Amino acid sequence: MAVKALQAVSQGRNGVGAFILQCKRIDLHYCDWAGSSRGMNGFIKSLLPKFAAAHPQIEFTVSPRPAKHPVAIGHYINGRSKPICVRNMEPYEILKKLELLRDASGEKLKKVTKPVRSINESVRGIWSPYHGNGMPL
Amino acid sequence: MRHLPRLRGAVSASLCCSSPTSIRTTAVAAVATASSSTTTQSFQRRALSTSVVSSGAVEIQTPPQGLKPPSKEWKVAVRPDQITDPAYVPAQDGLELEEVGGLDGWWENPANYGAGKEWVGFGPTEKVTDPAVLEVAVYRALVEALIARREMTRSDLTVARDILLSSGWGPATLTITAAKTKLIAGQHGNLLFNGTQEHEAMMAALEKHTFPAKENGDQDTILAAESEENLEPEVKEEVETVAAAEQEAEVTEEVETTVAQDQEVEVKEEAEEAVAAEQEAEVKGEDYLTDGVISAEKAQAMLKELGHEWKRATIRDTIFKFFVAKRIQKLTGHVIPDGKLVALATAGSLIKEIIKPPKAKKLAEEIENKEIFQSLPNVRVFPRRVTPIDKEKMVGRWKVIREELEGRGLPVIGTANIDNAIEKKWVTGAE
Amino acid sequence: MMKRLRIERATGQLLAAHPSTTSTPGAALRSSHRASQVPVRHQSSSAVEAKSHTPLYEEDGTDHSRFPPLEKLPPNTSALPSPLPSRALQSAKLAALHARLSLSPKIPLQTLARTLVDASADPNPQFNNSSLAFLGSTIINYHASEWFMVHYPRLPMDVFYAAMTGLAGPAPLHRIAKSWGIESAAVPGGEVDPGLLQFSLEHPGESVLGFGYTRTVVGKINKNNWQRSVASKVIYDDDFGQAVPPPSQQPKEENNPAEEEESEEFSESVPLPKFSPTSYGSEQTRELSEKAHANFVRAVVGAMYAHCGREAAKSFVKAHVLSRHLDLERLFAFKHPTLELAMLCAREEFDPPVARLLSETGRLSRTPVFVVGIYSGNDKLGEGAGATLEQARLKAAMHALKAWYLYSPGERARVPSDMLGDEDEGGAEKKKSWEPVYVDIGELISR
Repeated sequence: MAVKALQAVSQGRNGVGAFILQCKRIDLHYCDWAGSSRGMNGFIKSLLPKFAAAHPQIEFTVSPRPAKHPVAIGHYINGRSKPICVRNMEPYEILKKLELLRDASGEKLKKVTKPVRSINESVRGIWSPYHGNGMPL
Repeated sequence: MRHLPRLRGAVSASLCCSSPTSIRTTAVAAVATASSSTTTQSFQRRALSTSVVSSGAVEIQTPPQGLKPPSKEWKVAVRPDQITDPAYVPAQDGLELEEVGGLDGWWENPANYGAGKEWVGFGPTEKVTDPAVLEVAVYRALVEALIARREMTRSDLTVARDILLSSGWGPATLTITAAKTKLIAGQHGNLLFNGTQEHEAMMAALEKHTFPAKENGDQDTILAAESEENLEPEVKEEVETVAAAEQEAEVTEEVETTVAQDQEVEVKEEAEEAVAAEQEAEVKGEDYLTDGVISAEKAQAMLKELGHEWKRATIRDTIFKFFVAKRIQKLTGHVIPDGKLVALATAGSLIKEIIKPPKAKKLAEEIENKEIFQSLPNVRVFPRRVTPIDKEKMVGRWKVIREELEGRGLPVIGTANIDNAIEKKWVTGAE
Repeated sequence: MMKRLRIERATGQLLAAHPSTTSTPGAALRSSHRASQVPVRHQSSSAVEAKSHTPLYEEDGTDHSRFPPLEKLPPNTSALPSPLPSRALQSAKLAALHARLSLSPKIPLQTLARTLVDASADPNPQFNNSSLAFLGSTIINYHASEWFMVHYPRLPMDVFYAAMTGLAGPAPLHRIAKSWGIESAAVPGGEVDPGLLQFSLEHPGESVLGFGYTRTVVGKINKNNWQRSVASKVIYDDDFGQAVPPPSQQPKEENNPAEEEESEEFSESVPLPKFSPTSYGSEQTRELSEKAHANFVRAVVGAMYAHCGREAAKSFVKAHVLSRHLDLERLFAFKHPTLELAMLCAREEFDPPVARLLSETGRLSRTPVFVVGIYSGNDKLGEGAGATLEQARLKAAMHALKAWYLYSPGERARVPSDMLGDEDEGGAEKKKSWEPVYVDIGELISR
């Protein structure tokens, strides 16, 4: 007869309390021989140390992939990944791509029509036709 | 299919010369012919041919003074207006010309191959990489260059200098003696021997091991006058053990000729004895008697005695530096480019120039050498491609996969001779 | 109240578990590992490096001449139940996780690696996270319960348990672990990357995870879905109002058949399938996975407490657990709301509740709407809109009850642990400003 309880699971709100960067890993692949990897090899030697030091929460793996174009693959907390081919790019172009990977959420790209989405209830409440004095006709 | 290199334009006679005996003197001959290329131009086209010219008329060209000519005789065709044969009809265009020479059958001719025909570089094929050995090599090159400058400037001694320039490490006694020859920085910082008599032991060792008798008559007399190889029998034995087989024979010949000439043997004999005794003591005391490149441990032991003062001495003479660079190349295989050689002013900078870690061939090696990501724990650099098996191992699945495959009798990696076209056999019914 | 622990001592114990203690349950297993030439493990951050081993690498059936091993592991490493603690320093995954959680540098990577080893992967309590998870669970549950107690003092006990489960139970903690980007190893072992969560689906481990007593009839309660009174839940059951399961028997203890039978009677001893029937796994595997993830989060909090102290652990719990959104209104399930409201008014000596129709539209139409208000005297307790008069009345009663139960003194109300600050951190000022919190007289009707 007393109140019974239902089960629910709390919802996470990233940024409320703690913020977790959604990009958790970036794989960098290069080739020692091919010319399309020239910029990538230079990036790994010159710019990656600073970028990796600035983002300790991202795991970086650097591994060769012979006879393939260089690629940077971002792995996200939602389980998705985002690969970007960086063939023939200069180191600073690759840096831009890595910043893109870092800032991405991992979700599929879609058009955002409502810029704010919230699970908090409306402060004003929902308009009701049964309350208030109404409009005299 | 082979690609034949094309010869374009005028080629100096020395390059075209195919005589194996002229290879050793290529350097001298090339310089000489280059200066007189205008005079030899008339028979250059013939010289391109490797087959025998069928013309009857033969004229032996006498080369200008001072040149070392190729040993082959050159045949030159008769001029058209001097032909007496009535059956001779001059060709009207190029197609009617008889084809002479060319590379027909050249590749099939076994005489064009063999040990003597292979290209031999100036330095050793493999570079010396040990820093201690490199330092000792530089020291030895400096000692030899100083000796060459002091003792071999006379015009009749240039041959000995060339031999010294092109000689390798030789017996270990040479390196030991070089290391015992003290170099100091002089009053103005220039490189000097410690005393005026310092280099005599080295000179004697060079004469004994590096200038054995050659077929060249001039050299014979030079060395005979200088070397005085009248050694004690036991010393001679030592020398024999040290020297290579052909050197051994040459040395004994040398000794015979010097004895035959019977010059003032007794005067210098004492000095030779002293040197020989010293060498003998070293030979018995230490295990230095390995020919060729010395070992790294020996080099380190030598370097301790050498100290560091000689590295600060300046070297300004360009020709001297060039000689040193060539000796270093001959001993170690390290080529110092001319552009850098000009800037190198001390012995220490020479050493620094050649003691460099070899350039990394792979990015992963370079990262490891430079320790780029040493302080970054969130970066992992793999030295090779990360295979699917590696990924399975990282998540611990590989041991399960392996167990399952082995349990079913399947190969863990590879196909183990299981033909992938087995379905084809089923379809066609072929065995 | 929480007693203040000596943090330094706790830290030392965590980092240097003594391998000589053979009284622990995992000691026998451990000694058997030693006998089979397995590299000796030590739980210490002072890096007992595996230098003394032979230079041979672990044989894994691959061609080492063509693909040299990426990590030079000593032989028989995969026979270990979990990675060696020294390997934690090489794992980029672990370092990134450490930074992602903004953990203090006081927490060494070895401890973080230990929090990722579930009891099902490594039964040795000196190498798994069970002790840290127990510590962490007490801290998380304490902070969550005091938060509910202070901020919603009139919550009924069942709803309180549901709220605790929804905020600090295994399911939300599993989601938290997922939101941290935790990846799990397919099969635990010594060669696995230490940055992966390791648990076994085949051998569920044993870990003490809370206070409570095992009821003697727990098997029948689970089997027949017997109801338990709220009072007995408070006394016997765990922090989430769940009956404490009996300690399950290890399958190795076959020399005691009587005990095994007894355990069979209590809990279902269905052998878990070796391979999950679907790509998402079976229900059991999902539950095991959820439990392992939750224990990892608890172990992180425990490690935080052990290495950095109470305040750091509290702020970590606040940031990651308490900050999550849980709609308490949705947790109530009323059976007779009008009756309950009447009893409430009687207890509180209000006027008896009366339902009045406030407005209506389309009574004879297909979609009528009635708005009913519940009044106690002149005070409107609640209002509800429904398609029938009865429905609108019930909704109004429910709203009135929720308004009563979900009374909150406000977000700024202090919880008791706010007063536990150290003296040198301005704790004295905090103590001065303490005001007693509202304590409700109790539930309306309790069974």
